[in-house]
Amino acid sequence: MDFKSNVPIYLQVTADLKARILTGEIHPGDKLPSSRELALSYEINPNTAARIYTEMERQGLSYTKRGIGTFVTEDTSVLEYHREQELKRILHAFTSELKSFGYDTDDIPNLLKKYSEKKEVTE
Amino acid sequence: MSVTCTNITKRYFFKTALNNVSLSFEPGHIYALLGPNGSGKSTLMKILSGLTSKDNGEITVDGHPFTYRDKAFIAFAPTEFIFFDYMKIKDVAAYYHDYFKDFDRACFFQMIHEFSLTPDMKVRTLSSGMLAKLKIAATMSRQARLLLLDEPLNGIDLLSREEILRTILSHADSSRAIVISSHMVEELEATVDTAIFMQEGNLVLCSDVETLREKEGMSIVEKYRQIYGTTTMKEAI
Amino acid sequence: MLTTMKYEFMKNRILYAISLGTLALLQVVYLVMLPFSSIKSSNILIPLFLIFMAGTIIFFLIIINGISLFSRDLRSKSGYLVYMTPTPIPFILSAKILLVYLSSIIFTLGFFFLGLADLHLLILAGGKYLKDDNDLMPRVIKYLLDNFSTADVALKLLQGAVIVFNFLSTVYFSIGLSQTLLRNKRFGGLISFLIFIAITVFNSFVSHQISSNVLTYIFHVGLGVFCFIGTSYLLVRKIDL
Repeated sequence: MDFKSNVPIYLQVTADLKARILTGEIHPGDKLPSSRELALSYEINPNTAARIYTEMERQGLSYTKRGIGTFVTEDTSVLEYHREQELKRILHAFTSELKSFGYDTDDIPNLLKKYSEKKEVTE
Repeated sequence: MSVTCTNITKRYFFKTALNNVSLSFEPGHIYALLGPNGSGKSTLMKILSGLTSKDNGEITVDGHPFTYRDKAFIAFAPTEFIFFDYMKIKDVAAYYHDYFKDFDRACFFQMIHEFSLTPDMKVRTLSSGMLAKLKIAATMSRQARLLLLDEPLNGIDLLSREEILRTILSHADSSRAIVISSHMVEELEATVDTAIFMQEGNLVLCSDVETLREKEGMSIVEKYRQIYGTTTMKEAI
Repeated sequence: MLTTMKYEFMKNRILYAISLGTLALLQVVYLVMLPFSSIKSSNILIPLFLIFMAGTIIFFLIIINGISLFSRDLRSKSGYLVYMTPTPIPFILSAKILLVYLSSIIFTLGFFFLGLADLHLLILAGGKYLKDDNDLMPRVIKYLLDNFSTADVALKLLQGAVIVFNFLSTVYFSIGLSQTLLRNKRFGGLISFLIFIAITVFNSFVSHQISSNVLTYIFHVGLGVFCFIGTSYLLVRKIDL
């Protein structure tokens, strides 16, 4: 994984794991790798990796059973909450960028329609 | 095993190689030792491994003063060619095995194999990249508590560099401290957890890497540029 | 310490190989020439003489090589592997000195005994001209066995060891001093040499003041020990690879 330079690496990996949970690549209740295995698979420092699950637990995304391992939460309300946060983030980024190029957010439905149609025509 | 340097000074006739440097190397951490040529990185490593003496200051290992016995727990991979002319790779293994109780032959030959080297190769015929890999294999096959790697990525192709970093990560554990000095600052970003910046023999900064990102929003590379004063293209524009 | 001796030995293998090769060559030449030699042509004496000569030269070469290795280990990267091991410095020094002594004794005595055996062969071959001497080798051996008991031999070897120890300690100390305290890389060799001369002159001077032979000997040995300890101290505290 290529890391951005101004955000702590453990947060970037947390975000990546969260995305994989929310997109369904990792399922609720799945066992997550040990923090050492995380370090090796993301190729990051083990101490850095150790902070990941602490953060994920703080966000309610996972829980640890001592001696057994770390698991993805099965609490659907928590996952829904995060899904909603992600949606807000995506929409905010989308609308900000549109605005910065001079488009009006009220036009969004029309723009989508227009450019989706155009795509069908060229195919 | 924790190794602490307090006020280490080393002077040569015309130059102060280290000036009152105080640092502590704790097990379980991987350190990046950074700075331009001449900042004292190699000298520090040589002093820690007992190859060079200090003029002032103390080195303590788990609280007791450093003696020759501690060399059994400290492994150093210098930049230079250090092996005896007649040696083949298997002779290097024999040498390390003879002198260091913690040397793991199986691990060494495994790494040699992964680096596409063979035990019968003569050391003096190796390219600089192959030599670098050999030094890594020998040093990391020792179960030493403090590993000092001086520019281990020099002269090595990209894929091998990544391989070496992966090897370092897989051999890192909570009982050893690993110190890597390198000019390849970007490549070390994710591997290390602490960055040590030196300049002209002085310790400029020793910082946890994630803290640097959290508090200052800077990666090691950016902090490096800030400390050593290069303006980036973005700033210029 | 034995491990260090083993690796010092390995570092010298080319010198040893050349010595053995030279010995083998001279021996073969000698044996080939032997059947064709006569009392008129003394060519046969040439390889014989060379064997003894080579034995002497080898002795000095081994000593010089030992000194050169020690110096090189302190100046260049070849010393890293040696000094990074958890071996006490005095053990490293002892190993180096011991190996030089043992290898020089073994090679030189080896050459000389072979030379003596060859001389005996020559006497046998020329028996009809030198009939009174064809028991030279047995006579030499009998003489040696009669007059030199094992204790005597051991004593001689020990005295030799002390001489080599003293000499090497002084040289090592000079080199060590020049390399560590007087860190002058360029004239290092010259400075070592001057220090060595200074110590030797001092040694002679003081010896002359002492009248008793025993005390002089003790002084010699004491100076050697001082140099050994001094070298150890310098390397432990001031090493600079």
